[in-house]
Amino acid sequence: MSPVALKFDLVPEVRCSSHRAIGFLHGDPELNAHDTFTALNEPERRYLLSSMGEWIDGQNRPATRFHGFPNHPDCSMCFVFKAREKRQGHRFYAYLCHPLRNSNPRFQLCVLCIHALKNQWETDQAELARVKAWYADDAAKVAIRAQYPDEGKNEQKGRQKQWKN
Amino acid sequence: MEELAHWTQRSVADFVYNISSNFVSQLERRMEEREIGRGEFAVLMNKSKGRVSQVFNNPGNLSLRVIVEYARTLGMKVSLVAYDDGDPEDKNGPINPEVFVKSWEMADRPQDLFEVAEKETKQAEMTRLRNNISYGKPQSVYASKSAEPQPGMPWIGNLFGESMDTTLYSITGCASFSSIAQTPEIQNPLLMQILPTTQELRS
Repeated sequence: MSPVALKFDLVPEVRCSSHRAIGFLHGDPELNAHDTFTALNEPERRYLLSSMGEWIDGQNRPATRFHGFPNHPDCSMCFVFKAREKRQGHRFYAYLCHPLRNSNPRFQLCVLCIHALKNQWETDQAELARVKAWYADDAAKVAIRAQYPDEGKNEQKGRQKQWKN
Repeated sequence: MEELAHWTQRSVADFVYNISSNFVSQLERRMEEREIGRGEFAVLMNKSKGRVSQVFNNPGNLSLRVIVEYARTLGMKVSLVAYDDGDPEDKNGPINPEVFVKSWEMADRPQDLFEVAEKETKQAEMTRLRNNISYGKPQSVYASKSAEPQPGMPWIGNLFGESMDTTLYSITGCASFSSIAQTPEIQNPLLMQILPTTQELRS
């Protein structure tokens, strides 16, 4: 999807834990979540930072603030953070992944990709499809791996075995 | 990984916003559980839906009075908790209120400090019993009147301590403390549960 190098940055000033973290994937015009978030007004930004903190702390609700898409089996990796500004609804679409499969398999990363303004309740399927495409994108995987190099037990074991032989 | 200061470190207003927002999240979860929409909640509060939405969408400036009113409407109470998490510079932000709620629920919802003290005593007794037990293969529980371990059966220890009784419980091969706790004879390893059985054996 992307010929240019992508970048992944954790959301600044939000706590990360060994269980969950949130960051922005950016470097492509379609990946507008980072720039939109940076330009948000203070109330909406604080609202979203609070919601992100809740999710990192282990909350999976309320759905008025963030939720996954369990009713869309094809998009089960998709996630969204929501905020309201006047009559418009901000949607920050993301995907969830486990970048440390070897060293910390339970660690869950929320990769924010696309921002959209919503007036309707229903989620736009097209946005989920775009997020899903970024989930599978090789450049995105490289960008995340740069932030989360996964030198875990399995890889160490493999190296050890090779060295013995 | 680079350590970033938490956003609530910037000002008291930011910290207040975060804890107000966490509080509103608690209300929203409660409303989801009870399937109460904002419109219905506004009716219960005797306020306009717009006013309620304003609070839910931008909870930065809630007074204690409003907090209590909103919580009461959903059948909840509020405690203001000051704590020391060893982070005086607020590098990590506030502890989520749900951490306190879950911890309180896990402690069987003590109503006062006496109940907390009772739980602590029981917990200490559990730990002591656990430390008395040696481990083997899971089989069955055997209660013995004998003061000596049964030949060929691994003895897990005197659950009552030396000063209580000479009656011993010989338990053949329990894999873990939890497997003992699950057996009908010793459902609850606390002394109150076991003591009547011991008295029967003694008589």
